[in-house]
Amino acid sequence: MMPLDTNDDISDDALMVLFANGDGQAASVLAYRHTGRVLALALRMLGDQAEAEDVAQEALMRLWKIAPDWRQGEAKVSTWLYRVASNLCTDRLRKHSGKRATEDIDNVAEPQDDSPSIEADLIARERADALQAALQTLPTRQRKAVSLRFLQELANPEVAEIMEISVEAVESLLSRGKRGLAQALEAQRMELGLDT
Amino acid sequence: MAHSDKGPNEEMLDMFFDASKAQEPVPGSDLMARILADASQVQAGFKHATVATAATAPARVTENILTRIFAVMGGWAGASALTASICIGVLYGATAPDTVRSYLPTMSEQTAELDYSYLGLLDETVADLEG
Repeated sequence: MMPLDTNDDISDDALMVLFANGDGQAASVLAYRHTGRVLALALRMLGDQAEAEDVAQEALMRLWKIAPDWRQGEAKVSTWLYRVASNLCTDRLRKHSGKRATEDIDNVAEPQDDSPSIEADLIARERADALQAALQTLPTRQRKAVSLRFLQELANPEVAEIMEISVEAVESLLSRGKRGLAQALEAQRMELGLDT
Repeated sequence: MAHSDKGPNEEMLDMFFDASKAQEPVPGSDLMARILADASQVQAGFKHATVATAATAPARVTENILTRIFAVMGGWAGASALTASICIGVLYGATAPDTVRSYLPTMSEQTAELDYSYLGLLDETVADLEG
């Protein structure tokens, strides 16, 4: 497929107007530009590929629907999508409360790929999986703040805007979230080759 | 920097974060197809709204023009007066041409006499002034 996500010279706001006016390409550019990030956040929040994809699809669906009423310059499309996606994740976590919270770090899935590969790659994948499992042990708000700040690499004010809380509250959540992650991951350090 | 609480586990966490970022999920073609299908469906709704507006637009314009003309004429009272005037005009035109034509020769003769007498008086006045 044509690499539409490379069309960086068109702003998201302009694409929203184009989409609302019936431009077929605008949706493709927006989708290829933002779906990956939304999916990543949803996957980190939910820890389930199928559910994360559903959230990404629903978040984009809401973006399409709001296009005619989109107010240029008021909010970034990425911020808006993160907020919608994170709220959808929170709703799903509430519905499935307890189910994922009880997931233990020992339940981290083994790598699917059994083919020989470089040890560093395996360790990196194990670390990513371990972090994913550790994230699931955090309270939802800490998980959301940590994911947005350290994995989606957003600035604290933007995290605050997405979560609709103060920057100070974000910093507090990040501090507690990192402590919780460190505790959850500490037991895995030797196994994952971090002390070698 | 946002995270000022650098602790002993900071480097370890950074390694985990880096590893996770390197494993960023890539949206599959199936997901993208679903998302773009949604976009097309939603966009089709926008198009229907636009088409509906375009279809009704000429009727609205015609209606507006007629309404404005009607208002300029003074509403129902003005329209009635105008209609009556038109009917009377048509009636006169159809039934009384002979009556109007009977005045025309007299009017032409009188006009000719007036013209000549006026010029004669002018000539006399000029002669008196010169003499």
